[in-house]
Formats: sequence, structure tokens, C-alpha cells
Amino acid sequence: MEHDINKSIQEKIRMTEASPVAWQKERTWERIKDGMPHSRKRYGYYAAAAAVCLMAISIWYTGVRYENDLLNARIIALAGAIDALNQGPVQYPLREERADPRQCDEERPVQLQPEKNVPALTTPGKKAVLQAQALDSLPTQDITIQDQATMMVAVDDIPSENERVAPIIGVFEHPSPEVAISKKNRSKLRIRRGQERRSDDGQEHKIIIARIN
Amino acid sequence: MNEKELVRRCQESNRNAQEEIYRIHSDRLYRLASRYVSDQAAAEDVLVTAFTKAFARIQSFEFQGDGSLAAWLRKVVVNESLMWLRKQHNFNLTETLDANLEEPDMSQLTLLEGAEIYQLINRLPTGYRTVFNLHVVEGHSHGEIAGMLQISEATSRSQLFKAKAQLKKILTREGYHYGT
Repeated sequence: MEHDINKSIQEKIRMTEASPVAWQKERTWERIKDGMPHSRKRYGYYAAAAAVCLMAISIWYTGVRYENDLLNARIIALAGAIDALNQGPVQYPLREERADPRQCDEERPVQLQPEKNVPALTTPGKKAVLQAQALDSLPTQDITIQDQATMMVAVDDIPSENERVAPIIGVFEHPSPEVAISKKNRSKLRIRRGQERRSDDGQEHKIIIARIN
Repeated sequence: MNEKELVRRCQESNRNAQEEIYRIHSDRLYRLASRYVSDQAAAEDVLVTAFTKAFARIQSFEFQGDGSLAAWLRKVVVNESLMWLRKQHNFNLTETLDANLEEPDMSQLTLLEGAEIYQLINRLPTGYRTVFNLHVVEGHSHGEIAGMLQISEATSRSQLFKAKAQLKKILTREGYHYGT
């Protein structure tokens, strides 16, 4: 008897529950949706997007670092050149007294860039003008590395003896893997005065030696 | 799309399938939750938690024919309603009844419409209402109810007896001539 009564009540209640009712159905679904974790497929999309972003950032960062390294190398070269400026004109030795740079291990003075109209280096302002001019007009072709410690730069113009020349500034104007200096060695870079001559192609060249101590 | 396919897609965390299941079952389950918690906002809270848990655990659900998903969801909502009630209400009752008391006759209740019965149930105190819902509507035994609410079987019987007595009182007061 009790069982039948319960069964009847149960059926009536369940029928009532099946009838439409007004409630915040959409809002509740939004809450459920917000609380659920995203599907694995969506995680995959996020992971792929993150990987692409990381790759782009790493490429960009590598480029920035390379630019910075080159800039630092220029600054170091410029500092060496300023020192050279302060040391006055260079007296070039006679041609027959010059040694072959490829066979010479001893340190040589930096060979200075010839400059026709170099004013007297008396004030810091003039020095700055000279440095800028030298940076713009430097011939930087034929940059090679002899070994890990020594770089040589050949320039075409040969200054006449006893002629005052401007210093070499910005020997890394044309960066290439051959002239890129590692961060470790950069702090040890010193540019020395000196000059050499070679005539592989029948022309006279000036050789500038930058030494990494 | 049939229910089996819907379940399969839902087990793959397909958002459209989850929404479809929600659209089909949420009205009925909302009514079910509000019969236990007797408050619209609370029923919505229960539904949010219940559906979130159901979708998270649907991998363990085994489809056993049409209607099995509805029954499983119903269990989840009932459990979640009881958890909500346990947080709000102390079921730690130790009531016993005199075994000689006669069980109130509920035959008159069956003459009422479902909506009327629904409203009468919602007017019962929480303890009475919960045991009445679990025993009469869901069909659980007193032993099962004792386990679910962590009360004794005697307490469960007592709560059901009082629920029926209260319903009889309401029906008599409002002219239903209950139990005559």
C-alpha cells in the first residue's frame, strides 16, 4: 500500500519536473562554461601559439645581440683610434726597411689612415670632427684574420713618408663572420700603431694590425 | 544526434556536446535541485557545481542505454544538493520514534496534482524535506539515507514520520481532509 502511494507521488513529481520552468538557464550555463577547463585541442592551439611567439622572440633577440656586439666592437675600435690620435703623426720607415707582416710576430704600431686635409689636433671638438670624418671615409675592404689573435686590414692609399695621417676608426664597418669578435675577446682588443706593405696583386697596400691581447 | 554519440563526444571534452547535454537535462535537474535546497539561487549554484563535476567525470560514465545518462546526472545533482545542505544545515540528529505510533496515511496526497505536491514538499523543514525526498521520491531505503546524511536509520524513520505528519497537518488545515 505504502509502496504504491510512494510510486504514485514519485511519478507525479517527476512529471512536474519535466515541465518547463523559468530560471536563469543561460547565466548558469555561462558559469558552468567559465568553470570548466579548456579542451585538450584548445591547449594544443595555445601551445603552438606560444612556441611560435618564443621562436620569434629568440630570433629578434639574437639579432639585437648581434647588432650590439658589432656596435661594441666599433666603440672599442674608436677608443683605440682616439688614443692613436693623441700620439701625433707617424714617421714611416723607408720601404726597404719594412718587414713582411705575414712573417713577423712582433707587435707593430698601427698604420694610420692617410688624410689629406687634416687640421691640427689641438682641441677635443676638432678631434671629434676628425673621428667622424674618418669613420665615414674609411676604406675597409679586404678584412681578413690572420689567426685568432691578430687581424689585418689592408687599405689602398699609401701615405707619403713623414705625412701626417688620420687614425683608423671603425675597422668593423663591414661586419662579417670573419671579423666578428667574441664577447670574451672584445675586452682584450687593442689597436696598435704599425704599418706593413705587401704586394700580392702588384699594388702597394698598407696593413693595419689590430691585436687581441 | 543520439544520446550515445552525445556522451562519446562529451567524453572527448567537446564543448558543443556538453552544451547539448545541458540544454536537454538542465530544466529537469534544476527542478530536482530546487526540491532539495528550496532556493532559486542555491539551486543554480548546485547545478553549476553538479554539471562541472559531471563533465569532469564523464570519462567514468558507461552508457547503458537511453535514460542512463539522465539517471546518472540525477544522482550527481542529488549528491551535490545533499553536500550543499550539509554545509548549510546540521543533520546530526538523534531522534527516535515510539514504534507503536501509527504511520500517517498518505493516500490523499496522491489525489493532488504534481505541482501541488511539489509545493507542499517545499514547505517542509529542511530535515523532513530531505528525508521525504530521498525516501518517497528517489526511492532510497532508510539504511541508504542514513549513510548519505550520516544519521542513524531510526533518525531517518523519525524524520520521514514527522514529514508525513506535517503534510497531513497542512492538508487538513487547508481543506484536503487528509487521511479520512
